[in-house]
Amino acid sequence: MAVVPSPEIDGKQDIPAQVFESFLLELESTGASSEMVARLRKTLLDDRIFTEGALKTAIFGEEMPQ
Amino acid sequence: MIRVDSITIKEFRGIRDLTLSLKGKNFAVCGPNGTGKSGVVDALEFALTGNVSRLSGEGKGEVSLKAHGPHVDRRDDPDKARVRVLITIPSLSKTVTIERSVKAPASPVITPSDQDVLDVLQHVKMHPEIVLSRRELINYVLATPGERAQEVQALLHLDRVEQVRSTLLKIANACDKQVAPQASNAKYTHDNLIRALEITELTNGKVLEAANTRRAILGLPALFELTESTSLKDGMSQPETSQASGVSKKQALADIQVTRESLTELGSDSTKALISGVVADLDVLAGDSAIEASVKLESFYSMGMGLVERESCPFCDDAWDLDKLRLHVQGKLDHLREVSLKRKAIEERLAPLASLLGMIADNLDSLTRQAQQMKASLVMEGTNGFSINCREISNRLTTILPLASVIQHLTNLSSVPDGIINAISSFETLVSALPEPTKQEGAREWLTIAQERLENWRESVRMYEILKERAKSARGVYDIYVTTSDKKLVGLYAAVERDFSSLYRFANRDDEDKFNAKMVPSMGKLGFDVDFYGRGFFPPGAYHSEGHQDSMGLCLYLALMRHIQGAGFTFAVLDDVLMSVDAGHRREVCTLLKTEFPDTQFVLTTHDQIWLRHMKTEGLLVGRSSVLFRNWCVDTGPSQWEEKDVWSEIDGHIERNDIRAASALLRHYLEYVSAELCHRLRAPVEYRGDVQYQLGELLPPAIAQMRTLFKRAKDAASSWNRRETLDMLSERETRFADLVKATKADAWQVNTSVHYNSWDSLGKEDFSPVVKAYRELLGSFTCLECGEYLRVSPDRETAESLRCDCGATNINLKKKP
Repeated sequence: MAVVPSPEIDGKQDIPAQVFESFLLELESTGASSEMVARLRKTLLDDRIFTEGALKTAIFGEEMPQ
Repeated sequence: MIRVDSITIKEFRGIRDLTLSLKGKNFAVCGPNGTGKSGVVDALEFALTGNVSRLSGEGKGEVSLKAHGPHVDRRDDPDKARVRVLITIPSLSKTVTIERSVKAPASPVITPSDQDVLDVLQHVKMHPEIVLSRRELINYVLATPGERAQEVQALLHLDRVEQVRSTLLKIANACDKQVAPQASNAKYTHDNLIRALEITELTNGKVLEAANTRRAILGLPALFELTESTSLKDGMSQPETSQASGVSKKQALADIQVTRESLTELGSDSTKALISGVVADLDVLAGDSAIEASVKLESFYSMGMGLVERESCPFCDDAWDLDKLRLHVQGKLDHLREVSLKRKAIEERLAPLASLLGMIADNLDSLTRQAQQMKASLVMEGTNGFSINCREISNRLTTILPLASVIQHLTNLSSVPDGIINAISSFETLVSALPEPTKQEGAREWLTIAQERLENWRESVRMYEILKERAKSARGVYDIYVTTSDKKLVGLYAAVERDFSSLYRFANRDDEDKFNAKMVPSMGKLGFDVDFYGRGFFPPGAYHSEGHQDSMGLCLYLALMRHIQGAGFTFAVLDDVLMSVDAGHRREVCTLLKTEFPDTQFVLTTHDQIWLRHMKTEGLLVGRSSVLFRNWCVDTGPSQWEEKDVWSEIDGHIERNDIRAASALLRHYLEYVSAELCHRLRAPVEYRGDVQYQLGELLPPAIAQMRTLFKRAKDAASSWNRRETLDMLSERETRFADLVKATKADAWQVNTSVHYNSWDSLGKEDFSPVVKAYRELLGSFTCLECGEYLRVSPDRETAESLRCDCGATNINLKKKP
């Protein structure tokens, strides 16, 4: 597995981002769909939204019944 | 990130107008309680983050920054409440001004507002932990593991990690709960389909065989495969049912039969025996109030164990230690194990009864719908209440509580009301009276109903598969998240643990040089045990003194900050921390801050002047890097001990002929300066255990020490044959003696309270010369260039010189060997 640099903000470590990054890499390696991983990446790392609705949508996608 | 060069505070909190020059160096704000120190801390936080922690967040009630940020006399004019800081951003080599008003805290004026500057300031805003109070510091040490986890997680922004974990768990649990009901639904639709197809086993071959038999009757081509989109009635023309009623006679009779069978089962001896056995067991439980209470408690604990997944009580929101709580509740459950076993056994026996009642309700509803299709609703109308009752009891039988209600429901179920049997018989009569369909009509009805129930079953199975897959997926995501975040956090805490132990050992190396700590993280808590002189690991509050605990809190904070911000840890405000650290360790803490964090600018507040002195003597503070507040009043805010201001203020009082105020201020100032002079000159002072020195106990020793130093300096100059120095010293010594004589201050040693107590009875003309004499006397203790009070160097061991910080005055005290 390639070494992924630690996520940083303004040159400082962002520990939650590191945790999320590790989680996503592990999720991907266990065969989770790339779509799900991409959605979770966007929610956790880009949008930084941690609500139940956002995470549910990220895991199951928009089209799934809630 | 940043260093603060200066701060100007106007009409903010208790401060009217104050400017402090920090010059990017460590800086201390000292003064008695209530003199405005915290106002400076609030102003720094406000300028850098736009917020004041003490005025926001949980437990602050009706207090708010907007309403209570401005000085009380400016509360209606928040625009006047302003803080301006001049900062340096070392990584950008830029100097930046930030000015905020309470009116618009989110819209600071930043100059220059370059993007790289804004990025850094945004990062500062996200780290309000740069301000640490003693209350927060103690939270790191003395909190329960759950509370500590929250504090530390908040500092590291790990609350987001925990929030994601608990949300993923909630999603996984919710998904799990959806699977079982859908499995029941799939079984029900499966049984309905089998009945409609008149087969015993649901395989593609058997379905196709049964369907093709009917299709052949209608002249439709045979189906060769059964896919998800296959329709059994493919190619069949309208009308789909030949019966005027729209009901398939054969299917309706089959459904009636199934309904009867289920009702018969309900009224069967075996069911009656089951019910009576369960009721008897429940009666036993209900007959003993203690047992019933235990059943209720056991049920409550069991349900609670399943619901406990947050870090705080859902009722009162008090934080709890999740693992400790679980252990505690499990202990109660273990105690109620017998009751628990009984309850679970009864609930297991009730499960098939609940399922049967649910099926009866479904079947009766189905017959009712068919009666409606035949325009014969009245026939089945009487079954409606029974059906609702069956469904309600079915839902209720998932638990045995409340016992009395369950017993009553079960007793009433012991027989099926005659009205229900009669209604079904009447409906059967109606259905039987329907004309027999032709072979073609029969085939058409069969295909129509089979297709409808096939679709229902397919949809139900599809939903079941989806929900099962979702549950598996959600659980898998949660499990991976827990594994990876645990691993990451264990590594993080191990690094912080090492750094913390190392810092604490440094600060306490005289007696705890083998100190170690254990930080044990697990989801929802952070265990923190420390070594106590090699006797084992215990919670920090168990045996260590308050001073050691303060020290631990600071070291943990510093270790965490160093880990979070690395080289970016350039600024921190330590608000009244370490107040209980003993004198010996204060020096070490100062050294720790100075040597381990040389690139960090600390702003420290304290009410303890001895602490301030330690910071100076240990070199944590250099030059004019502190401010000493002497008092505070609502009209003017804090006032400092600044030479120029003090003499102006005394002159003002004299001008107004307020000698009482002038003399009080002079005495107060002389007390402060005398203590400072004794410290700087290393004057021998009669020790007082209560540290409450009067002016007469400090100023005379300072004067006597100055005389001694002049003498030593002259002896030294003579031994080195320094004529010029000797002349200069003689001149200063003579002038010093004249000034002492003018004040008669050295006579106080005889009677320490006579002179200054009589000042306020003097007239204006009499007191002005006294003030002048003391002003000149104090001036003789200073460097003639920089105006700083002279000090003996070094501050311990053999005195070598009498000097100032600017270097212009440096008088040798050591004679030629």
